[in-house]
Amino acid sequence: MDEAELVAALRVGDPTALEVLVEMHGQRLLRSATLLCGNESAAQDLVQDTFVEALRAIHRFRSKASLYTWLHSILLNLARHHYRDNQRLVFDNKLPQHEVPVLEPTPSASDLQVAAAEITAALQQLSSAHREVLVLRYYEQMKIQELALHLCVSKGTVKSRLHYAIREMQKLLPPEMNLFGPGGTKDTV
Amino acid sequence: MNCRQMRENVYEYLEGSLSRSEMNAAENHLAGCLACHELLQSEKQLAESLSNRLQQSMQTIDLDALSQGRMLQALQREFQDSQRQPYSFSWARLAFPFAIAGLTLTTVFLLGYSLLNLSRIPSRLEFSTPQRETAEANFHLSYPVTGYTFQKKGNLVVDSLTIETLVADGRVTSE
Repeated sequence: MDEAELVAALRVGDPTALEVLVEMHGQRLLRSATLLCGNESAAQDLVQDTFVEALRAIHRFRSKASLYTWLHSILLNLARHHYRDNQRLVFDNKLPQHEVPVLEPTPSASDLQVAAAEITAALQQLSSAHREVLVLRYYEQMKIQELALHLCVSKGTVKSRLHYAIREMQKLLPPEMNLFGPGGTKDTV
Repeated sequence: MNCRQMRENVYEYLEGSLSRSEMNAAENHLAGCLACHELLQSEKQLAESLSNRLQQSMQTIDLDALSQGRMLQALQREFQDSQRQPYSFSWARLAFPFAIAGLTLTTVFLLGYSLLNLSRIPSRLEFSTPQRETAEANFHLSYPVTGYTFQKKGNLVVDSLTIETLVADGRVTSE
């Protein structure tokens, strides 16, 4: 079932379309939501709410952008509501402190989990605006123009937020994570 | 293209969004500017590294069968609700906008009506136009006239202010 057929099936109330929708986009939305809100359990709720909202508004979907992009814009709005409802201040000394492994080309599952925790924790320390541009640019691989449209800001604002977000991530992530170059973190931009 | 322009367009250069002419200008600049070349390499490395790291970090996050089932149940409930109450246009949705429009029109009408009916001129000049079609008007004019009177009382001269109202009646006709 291609995207146009899926949308048509959802509009007419075909029950099998629901399974296809979740199977096609559920995992990718969940991973994006986890990066945005920092918590897998909350991310699952966000994704569920995203699908419900999408079903309610499917008659308003226009094929200008892809179905996934449209679903992601719903997810982004819900995630912003989630931030506002669950704002809390996290002090540095409350963050889990554990040894961060240097990831080999084929890291183990436990190493990945630790690295994932470090990255999501660092992302949560950014403001929602800076976290969104990082996730959309480097995880969702959106181009600058797409980002600007998705976030309803100018391209200049997107670039400015990216620049700031990268600098902040450099400070927040431990040097062992080897994120920005072969020699560890460095001031690249 | 200069260094500032190159820095501003480094993201678009890497993602291939520049126009052909801009791309050529960028390539020409990079061929002769080591600093911008290093900046480009650095940004490219950062993009690859951060993308890989984010992708790797999310590898352990999966939508398992249980979560998928829960989502499907929620969607099916929503589906059934929408089937019972299908989306349909209702005139009641327009009640509020119509009410606002009606209130605005009524306010504008009342303001206009009150401005058109000017209040009476607060002066003693009164005109009464006869019902006949001849161009004729009666007038009744009253106006205050102030004056001073002086009286000698002993060695003093006392002045007094007097106000007398004079009245004139008449008729004017057109020729």
